Amino acid sequence: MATKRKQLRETDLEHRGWLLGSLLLLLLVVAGMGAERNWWSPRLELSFRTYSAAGLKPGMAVMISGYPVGQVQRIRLLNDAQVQVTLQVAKAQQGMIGSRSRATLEQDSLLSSPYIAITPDLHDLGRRDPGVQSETLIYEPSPGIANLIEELAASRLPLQQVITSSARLMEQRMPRSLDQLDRTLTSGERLADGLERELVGRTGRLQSNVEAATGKLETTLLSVQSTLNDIQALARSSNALLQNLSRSWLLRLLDPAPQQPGPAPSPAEPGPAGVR
Amino acid sequence: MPGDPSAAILATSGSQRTAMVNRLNRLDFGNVGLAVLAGAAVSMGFIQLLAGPLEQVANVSVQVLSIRTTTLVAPVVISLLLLLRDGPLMIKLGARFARRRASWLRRIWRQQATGLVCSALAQLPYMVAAALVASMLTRPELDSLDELRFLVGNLDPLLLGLSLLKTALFAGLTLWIALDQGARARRLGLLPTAGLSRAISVSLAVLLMLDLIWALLITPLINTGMG
Repeated sequence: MATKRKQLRETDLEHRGWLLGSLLLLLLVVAGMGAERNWWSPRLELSFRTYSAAGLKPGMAVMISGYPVGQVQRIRLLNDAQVQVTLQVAKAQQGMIGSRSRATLEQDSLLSSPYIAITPDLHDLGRRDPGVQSETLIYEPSPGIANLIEELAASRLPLQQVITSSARLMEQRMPRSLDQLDRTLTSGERLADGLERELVGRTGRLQSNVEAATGKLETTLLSVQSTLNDIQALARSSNALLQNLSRSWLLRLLDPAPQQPGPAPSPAEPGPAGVR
Repeated sequence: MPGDPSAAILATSGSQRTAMVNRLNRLDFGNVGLAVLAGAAVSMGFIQLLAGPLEQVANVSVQVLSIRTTTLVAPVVISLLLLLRDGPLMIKLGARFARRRASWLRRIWRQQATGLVCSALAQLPYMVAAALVASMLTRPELDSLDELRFLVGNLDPLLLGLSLLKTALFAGLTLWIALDQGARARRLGLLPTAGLSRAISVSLAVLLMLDLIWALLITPLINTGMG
């Protein structure tokens, strides 16, 4: 009997252990799901109305400036055929959402998931009432794929006309323009050849002229230098001749005797020596 | 009546019955191990199917899909495991209680359903956790902890809640069918094995039919989110 009771206690203990483990796992899973969906942070409810819920669905992400701040909570069809969409946004971002904020349906690329983008309202940022729990946004529906296709279809004919006229223009004018361009290029090439030949001839002549002038200049310079040497030698001989002449007796004879010098000037009278 | 042999027999049968009920309502290593194995097998098999013949290379998407699929099929799998493992016990219990009163089934079902449903519900988190870990190990994409956090975050709360609800409903139905078939076999003088065979086939038919109805009616409502 005691053994049976002991077995029962052990079974009961094992059962409770597994139950506790299961409960812990469930709590972990719920906590993980809640963390992803901001269950554990205070949230703010926003809503907007639209005439079409196309592209909108619960669970869709809500973003401000490309940053996820919440998700679409529910979509409800009202009696006036409008659709009310309720968003859940983290309360920490409440300050950025105001009367000027707009909600739009955005999609980054063709394959990415669409999301609700809220434009931030930074006007009167500090003076907004934080106690307001629910706000109504203005929803601006983005152009849908159907509208884009319709516009594309409407622009197809003008685009085709433009392409046809461009093709015609290319077909008619392009060969002529190419011929003209070809001719212009040929003339330009010929002109460049002539210019080059003339330039080469003229350059040769100019070079020979410059060489001849340089030779003549060098010859002239040599002559001038020899002349200068001659002049220098002539000047030296003239100088020697004049000195000899000045010392010759004939000139002393011809030169009258110098007059007697007067009294010496008094020291009181300043002479030219005093002036200096 | 200590000297009465019939009282001793009754006491013995009473203690046996208690032991049977305890075994039926208790979680043990066998229950949990089977749930873990089933979760890992379903998840890994699904991922290998998608990544192999179907050449799906988006690992994270494949993992999320496999975990959701496991969560979706978990109630049926748990109920079938419960039936296959404890079916004979339930049949025997039904046959034993059939001797006592006419209104035995409802009373006994009420007594035992709570414990059995709790046990079945407790197996679901183990199965989901096994699917999470198995998918993370089969096609690793990010850091293990980050990947696990991402996969748990991508679980649908509504899907998990409805799976828990479905598990409770299916476990209760399985118990009720098995007890009823045990009593029927006793009443008609059939062998317990015949009762067990019939209980398994009836339970399979009822569970799969209910699952089909669920998939046709409830799952579209969950997917559209307008429900």
